[in-house]
Amino acid sequence: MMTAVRKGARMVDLAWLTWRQHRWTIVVTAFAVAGYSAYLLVLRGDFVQVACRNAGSCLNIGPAPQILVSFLLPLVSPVLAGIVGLFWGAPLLAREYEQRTHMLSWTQDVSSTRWLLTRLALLGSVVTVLSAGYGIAGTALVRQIVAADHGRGFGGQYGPFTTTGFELWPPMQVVYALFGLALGVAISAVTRRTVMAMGVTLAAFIAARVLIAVWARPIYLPPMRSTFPIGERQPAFTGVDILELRQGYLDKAGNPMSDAAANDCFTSHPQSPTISACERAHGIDRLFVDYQPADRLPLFHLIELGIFLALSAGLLLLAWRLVRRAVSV
Amino acid sequence: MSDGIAVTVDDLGKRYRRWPHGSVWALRHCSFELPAGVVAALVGMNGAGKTTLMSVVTGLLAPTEGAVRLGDDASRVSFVAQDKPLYRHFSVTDMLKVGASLNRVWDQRRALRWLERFQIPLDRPCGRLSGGQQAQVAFAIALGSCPSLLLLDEPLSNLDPLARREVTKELLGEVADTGLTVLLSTHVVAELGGVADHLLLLAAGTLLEQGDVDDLLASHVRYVGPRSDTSPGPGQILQARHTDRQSTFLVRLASDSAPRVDPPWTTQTVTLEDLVLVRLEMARSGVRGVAA
Repeated sequence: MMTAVRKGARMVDLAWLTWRQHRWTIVVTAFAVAGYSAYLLVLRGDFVQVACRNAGSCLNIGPAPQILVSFLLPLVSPVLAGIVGLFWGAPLLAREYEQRTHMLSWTQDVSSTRWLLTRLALLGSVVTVLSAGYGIAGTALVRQIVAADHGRGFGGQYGPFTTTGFELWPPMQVVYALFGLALGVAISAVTRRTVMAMGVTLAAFIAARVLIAVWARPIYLPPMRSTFPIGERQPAFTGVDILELRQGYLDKAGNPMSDAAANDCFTSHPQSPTISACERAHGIDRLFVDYQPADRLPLFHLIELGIFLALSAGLLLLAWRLVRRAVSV
Repeated sequence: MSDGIAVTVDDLGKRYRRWPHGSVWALRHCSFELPAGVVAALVGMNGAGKTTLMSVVTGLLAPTEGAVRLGDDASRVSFVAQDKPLYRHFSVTDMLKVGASLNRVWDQRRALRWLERFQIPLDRPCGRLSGGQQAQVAFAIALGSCPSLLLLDEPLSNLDPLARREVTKELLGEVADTGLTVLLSTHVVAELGGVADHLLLLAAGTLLEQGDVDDLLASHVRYVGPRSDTSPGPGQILQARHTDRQSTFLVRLASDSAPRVDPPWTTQTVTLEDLVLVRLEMARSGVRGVAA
């Protein structure tokens, strides 16, 4: 009776099942990411410094790289992590609940939590490789753009503190993608409906990424303030390497003033020496710039990695607790 | 096969929270033992708590109170859910591989034998099988995992009458061959004849009746005779029916008391279906416990 008995429930068995259920998602995502990354690397060769015109770009590029740098790159860069959340994470539990197959899969020898954790580990590894490769290709490209076009034109769009430059850093890409996966899985554990889980995941992913990038990131640390006398040209530190937050005017006591007075002077006194006199007459003493300096970049990367890792851990804990309610005897 | 106990359920209760407030007991004060090697029928109307009880015994749901203990001989539990869930895009062969992957013990030949018996095409995606064929695949996976306790939630509901008889016969064969213990739920009482040798009767989350079917039938009798307001023999009256000329009393006998009635009264044996229906009617009309 028991002659044909074999041993199962090993890691390799769970890996087979994960692959069998997710192979199309994995294959399609991997092809798309590999293709796009290769495209970025190929186009990287086009960004070669030719001759810098005054204030203009130092690049002489064709239409494809032109579209890439002015439109495609900022738009497509955050998409991979969203796709992982939407198409890998959100259906992972919701589809099982929806088709009731959790009642099959979680009543075998493999517990529901082990089923979930091995699946997350396996898919997370694939996501890590894909997003790291994508981040490496993207970072190589933007560094080349900045190097070739330093401080000008396109170079200014992709400095290390710009949204795209900051976020393409490979570890950042990995953590965003893992966050997307964790978010999708947690929401799918709560909603138990695939379409609803995908919708909520998309909204929550965009909300979390935008809120943190726009409101939290500039103030991870209190900004530094540089002041300089009015009438002087702005110093060179307002380059592509810093994150500039705010410019304005200070009175003699060092308090920020409204821009209204300066704007009046600018319109009524087109000549630069007389502008300064007008501004002084309005009580303006100095100009200031609030900014995050270039040497804070690694720290800011670490802070944002920590935030998204903590969020991911919390989301995975939630999913794990919801799935663990189905306790195996 | 073994004299042991397959599963002991001790004062089990399951409460579902109903958002935003309140909660409902789907199962309460439920205690029973299943001897190893029996086919036990879990009978109750829709919503009686059958699926909840099975899900708790399987481990899909954590009980709110009480405990489930598996016997030493019954460490492997297999569960086939009511809707016989399968991965729709997987072929039958791949579904068997799922069973093999998720179990520490797997008997591929046993699973294949079941599918061959019912002529299930192995290369077809499960989503394109008929409801009855999907049920057969679910049974094959359950048997392939070599269970000592097999829980089947409404196992026959998707099957045509011929397949019902075949499945029942094959299941009884598996029980006889391997000493498997089966707990199957149903709300169709007529399916039980000659199948179940143990009864669990559930109504509104409470066990009304439980025990060996032969013992239960032996301890109940029906008296038939002329119109009368009182029962002619010993036993507690569960049901009295009167026409103009005739009265019938279904009674529960105290242990070992022989039903003796004087002519013109006669005694009739009670079928499992009679007993179940009477007890369910009593439960519905509010008569709760019946002293044994």
